[in-house]
Amino acid sequence: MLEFFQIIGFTAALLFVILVPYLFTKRFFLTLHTIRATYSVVFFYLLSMLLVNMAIILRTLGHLRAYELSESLSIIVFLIGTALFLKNTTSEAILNAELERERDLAKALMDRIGLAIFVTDRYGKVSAINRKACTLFSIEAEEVLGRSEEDLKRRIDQVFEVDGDLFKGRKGDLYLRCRKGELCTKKGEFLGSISIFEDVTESIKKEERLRDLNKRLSALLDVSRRIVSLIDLEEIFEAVCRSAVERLGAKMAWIGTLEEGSFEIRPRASFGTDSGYVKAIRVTWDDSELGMGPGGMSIKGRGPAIEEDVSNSETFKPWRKEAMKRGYKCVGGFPLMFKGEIFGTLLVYSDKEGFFTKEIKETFSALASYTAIAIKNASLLMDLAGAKEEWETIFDSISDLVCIHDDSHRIIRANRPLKEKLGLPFSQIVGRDCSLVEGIFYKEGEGCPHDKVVEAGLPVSEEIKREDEVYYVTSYPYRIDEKRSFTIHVARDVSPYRRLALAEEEKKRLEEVNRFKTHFVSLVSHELRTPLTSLIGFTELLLEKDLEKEKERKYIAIIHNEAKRLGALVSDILDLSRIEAGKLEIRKRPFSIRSAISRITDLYSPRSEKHSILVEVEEGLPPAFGDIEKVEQILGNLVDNAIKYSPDGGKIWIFARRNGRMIEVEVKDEGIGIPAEHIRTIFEPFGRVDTSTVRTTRGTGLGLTISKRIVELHGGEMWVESEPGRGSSFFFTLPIHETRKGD
Amino acid sequence: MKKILIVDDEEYIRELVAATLSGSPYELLMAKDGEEALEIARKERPDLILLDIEMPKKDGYEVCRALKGDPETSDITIIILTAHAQKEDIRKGYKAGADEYFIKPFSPTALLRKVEEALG
Repeated sequence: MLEFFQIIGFTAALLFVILVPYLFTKRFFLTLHTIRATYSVVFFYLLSMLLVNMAIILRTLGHLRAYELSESLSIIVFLIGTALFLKNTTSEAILNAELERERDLAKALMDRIGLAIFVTDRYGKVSAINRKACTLFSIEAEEVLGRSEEDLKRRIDQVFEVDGDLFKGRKGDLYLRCRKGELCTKKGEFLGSISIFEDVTESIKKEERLRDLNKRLSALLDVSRRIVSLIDLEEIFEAVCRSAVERLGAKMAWIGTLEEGSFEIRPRASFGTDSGYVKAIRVTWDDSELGMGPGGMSIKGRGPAIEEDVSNSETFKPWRKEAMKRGYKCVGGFPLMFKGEIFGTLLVYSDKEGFFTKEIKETFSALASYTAIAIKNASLLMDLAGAKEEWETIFDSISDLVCIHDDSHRIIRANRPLKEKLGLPFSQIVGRDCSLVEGIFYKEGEGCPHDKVVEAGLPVSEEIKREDEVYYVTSYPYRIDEKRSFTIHVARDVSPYRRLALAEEEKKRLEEVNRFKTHFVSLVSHELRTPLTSLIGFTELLLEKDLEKEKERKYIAIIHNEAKRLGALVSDILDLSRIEAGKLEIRKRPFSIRSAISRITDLYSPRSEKHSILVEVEEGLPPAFGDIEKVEQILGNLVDNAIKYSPDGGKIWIFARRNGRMIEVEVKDEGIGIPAEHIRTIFEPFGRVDTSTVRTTRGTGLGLTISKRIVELHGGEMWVESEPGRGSSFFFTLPIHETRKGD
Repeated sequence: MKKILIVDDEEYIRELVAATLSGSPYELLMAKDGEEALEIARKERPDLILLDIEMPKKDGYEVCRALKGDPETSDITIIILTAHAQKEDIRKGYKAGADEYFIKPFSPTALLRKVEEALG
């Protein structure tokens, strides 16, 4: 017995010596922390064995007292250990029961919590899993409890797609977010870990919707930004269809526009998996079968029209075959409508059922609206561009010179003809001060009429001569408000009209000359015949008849007179024709009109006893400027006429006076005067007043005509005033010889 | 003795015509304008008038028309004697009722023959 104890005792002692330091190392101690009580029992038992061994050794050595003492001690220690053991076992049972209750409570809590939870122990084995987790992961708790976490994860993987901490259900829309935590004691002892799964489906979906909305909005924004900048309609349609497919998830989209005077919806562009669909179908918006589809209905209903199930819709029948061939499941028609005006429809096809959610419909409706705006924009832009171009073309094709400047006289517009006139590029005209166009639109040195016309609110016109051109310029005021006003200058080159008018005048003059010539020839022929009649007649009489001496002499005298008259007539005709041909030479020199008059009076006074010639010349009359011989011819002619047409004699006055810048000469008689009806023709060739009383002393009938022409060649005028029975006054004017100061 | 009225505003022409006819047995009357011509014609009832066209007061056409339009004087033979030699003038003369149209300048012999012819 003792030997047995001895062996036990040694073994225990050995174990004790080896184990105690080990047991007391921190780590082990920590792991055993919870069952320290058990340990103390073992300690006491081991201590009691040690004492027994000591007692055996002491007995062998003969120390009986010591042996007894240690034996008693070992019994006491053993008893203490037993007592401790007993005590421990009792409290551990109680503890275990408590623990059990708490575990149940935890389990119940775990099951009742809406979260899915599983717990693994420190060895990574699943120690707990709640009901929710079992349901979500489609497993039974028994299948995984006590198994490794990896096993559980594999099971979960079958029903959930794991993306980091997000678990996405492989069937249906379910999203779980997983949070994993370590379980430790207060002192930091690791007990295991817990995984909590929260159902985040709603928030994820919301997020997704938001993301989707964002995507669609940005797509819409992109499209709208693009299409409103386009002018070409086909480009717009193309871009819209493309983005419906590429950015907004449609399978195919096409745009059809309304045609004036027809219910046809004409396809303009398409994009997506079409391969001839748009070509194969016909869509209208009338009340026929072809007008009942989403296209026609969207226009008639002025809003989105959705065909949810292509394969099963009565109204989609006409297009079903073609649509199904291409896998289209649903179709939406969205009117291209802006401010109530419908331009066409956007048709969107999808191969997904239920594609047209509220948001999608809104998106495509918006896209369709943008398209309508873009159409409107494009047409406005085109109108505007067209109008601008048209305006500029008109502006430039006005052959008049046009210049517009503002109230600071800065040129803001010039048309092409003005540019060409100035020989400057537009860049050097626009922006310049309007003095650039001085001399064209307003006379040099007179200043721009802007203020004048704007204030008056009325245009002003004037003729401006520039070199050999004549411009008719009108300056129009254009007033926007109190502060802003413009002047529009328009200059018309009227030189061609002038030239034309001159040519017309010249033509008329030539015709006049021609008519005059014809008339003149007949007049001349008549006038020549009269003296010729005398010449031929009397010479024949002289030749044929035996006449008395006296008669013979008389006839010869007549012949002589008539021959002279004929000579004078021929000479006058030559003079006149020279004048008419512009070949009469006028040698202008300054001369004294007084001396010219006195030479004439000297010449004519002796010719008639019945007449007296009186001269009155204004004092200080400046010299005349002209051909003195011609002027004397005129004076002689007038005095001669005065004598001739005052057959009863009388006074003849010659006045010379100043009349403005001219010298006026008047020859006045007290003769028979000129009847009113003859005044008009008095200066015409042979327009003399025939009276039998003066016939015998008749002249050539060209004197006055020639005189008037000569006066006109001097730049003067000739006219007559007369009162039948009381006399006539013939006037003519001659230029004064202008002398410069100091001459 | 047959009466011949010579109407012309030109003194020389009257003298020439008178001289031309002076050797023949005609009574010669003279007028120097249209009005005088009418007056004398109505009063003296000449057998023949040698009528100038271009005259003061009334021209030859008017005188011719007046005399030919009046039954009292319409049988007077009128020979227009004028320097108006254009076709237009001649037609106008005949239209006015003249029996003959004689153009100045003329040969006195030819005129005498014409007058004799006219008076038969």
